Amino acid sequence: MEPIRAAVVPVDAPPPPDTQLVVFSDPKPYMAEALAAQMLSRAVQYARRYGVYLVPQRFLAERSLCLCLLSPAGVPLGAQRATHLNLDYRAERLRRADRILPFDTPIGRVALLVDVDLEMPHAVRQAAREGAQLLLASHFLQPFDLTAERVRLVAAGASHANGIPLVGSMGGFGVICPPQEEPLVGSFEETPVAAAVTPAAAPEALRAPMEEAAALLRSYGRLFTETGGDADAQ
Amino acid sequence: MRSSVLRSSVFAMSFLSSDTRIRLEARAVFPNGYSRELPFVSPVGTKLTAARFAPRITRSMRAAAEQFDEPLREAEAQGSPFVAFPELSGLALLGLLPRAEQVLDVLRSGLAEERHRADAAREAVQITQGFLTEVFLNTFSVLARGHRMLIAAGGLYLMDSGLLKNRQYLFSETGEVLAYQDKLILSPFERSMGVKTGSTLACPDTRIGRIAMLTASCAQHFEPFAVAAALGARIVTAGASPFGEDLSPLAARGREQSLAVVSPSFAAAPDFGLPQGPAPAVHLPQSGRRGPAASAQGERAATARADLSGPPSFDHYTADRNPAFFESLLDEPVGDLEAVLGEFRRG
Repeated sequence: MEPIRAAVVPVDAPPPPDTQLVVFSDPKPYMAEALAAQMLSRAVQYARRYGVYLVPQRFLAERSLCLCLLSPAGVPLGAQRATHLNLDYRAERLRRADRILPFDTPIGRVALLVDVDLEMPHAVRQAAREGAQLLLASHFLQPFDLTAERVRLVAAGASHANGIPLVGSMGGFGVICPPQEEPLVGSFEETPVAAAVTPAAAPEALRAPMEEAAALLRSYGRLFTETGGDADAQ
Repeated sequence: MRSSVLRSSVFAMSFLSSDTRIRLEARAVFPNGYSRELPFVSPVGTKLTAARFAPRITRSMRAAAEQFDEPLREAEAQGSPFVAFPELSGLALLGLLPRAEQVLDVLRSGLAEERHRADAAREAVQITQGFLTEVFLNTFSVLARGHRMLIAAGGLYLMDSGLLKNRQYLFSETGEVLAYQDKLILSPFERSMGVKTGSTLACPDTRIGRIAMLTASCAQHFEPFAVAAALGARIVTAGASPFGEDLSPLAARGREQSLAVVSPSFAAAPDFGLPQGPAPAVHLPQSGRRGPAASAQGERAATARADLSGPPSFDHYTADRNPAFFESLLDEPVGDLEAVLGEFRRG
């Protein structure tokens, strides 16, 4: 795949010149269902105006937390519902999906990681096993939980473990992480977070160990399918 | 392989060694007695130590025991009740064989060619297993009893039911083997050697909590850490190996599963052709840092204090469990393991 120039910018802020992919950094939890259509309409205009692939804000649809990817023509290329939720959203009884479903786009096979899915290694690994070549994420964090170190740790954990590049926003931070490099992390105070990434699926060398790891998980499957792996609940 | 060199060296040492003699020699590293009291384990701060092991060619069983004892002495001085050694630490005992330099050359040349690697590995293990296992188990049993420490001692290759395994051992403070663990995720070199993976994860209960023994090769995979956490482990070991795996994801793995990760390493070992490994480290789940939390860095060990008294640390964002997600994850049509690993398995 060709490298693509990616940027993470605050909502509606113009991207750096020649940017091909933009992820909005939204400091609010999500766009309410009643406002989602309006938000998506603005996002379509943004994608067309700047000619970029765009991951706009997280939004609610049918009581699910969602994320989508728009093409430069403003056409939705794919969407994903969150498979895990933070405890506030659980208390709000939002619904959860059961699977990460990557989809093919002109910039590679994309997996959208909605909110805390970025912090769930099993969700990211499922995306990797389904052939994802680019992880796009948007994750809400309360300001008092947000540190650059946490952003680095989570981004590197997701990207390095699976050999797939990541472009995403976490709270007020943007992060771009190529698979074998240190994450680029910034908080937009001076400039947007921007870098080139090359979409690539999990490397061939990871295939055999991934199968061994999956075999182990399968042999302890009931620990996870009954309680989600919670030791205290067993 | 010129196995006659190896066979004659092992035969000579086997003739000279016995359980009693090995234990007697190992006890000599405790000149001031062998009756240390069981150290107090504070409920609010258990110290954990990652060894920086320096394997070398030794000329006596006492010297062989002393090389393992160096990190243990530093840990004891720090008041740590738990020390982890890197995987395959027991292969250092090859340095105890007569004409050890020649033996190591023979082994290296036998394993160099991939086409014959599996046969060479199997033959070498069959020849050395009895002697190495006897010395390794007895030495660590005495050291664990003498220091009154829990020791994740690393291990060695051995044949079990006709299968070649990379096995690690955990010793109790009374010198018994509490558990062993066959390596779960292999390095490419080991696959070409015909090593077989373990299928279960041992997670024995100890007085500082449940401990699982993983390896550096697990660092990129959440599965072994998730299984360990689901089995109630609070501490896992995953240290450097001679195969040079990337240890950088370990901090993330520990944080994801609320596990303290003890990551021992090797010092440079010119006798064995080993370069300096990464620094030994202890990653604590509550630290939320990418760097290790080891607070006391010594020449042969790094020690950190972990609070393992309460329930695993709770995180607002990662506490959600979705069993239905795991059902879909486990049901998905995955690649056929035998197809992927077939050529190695056949070897």
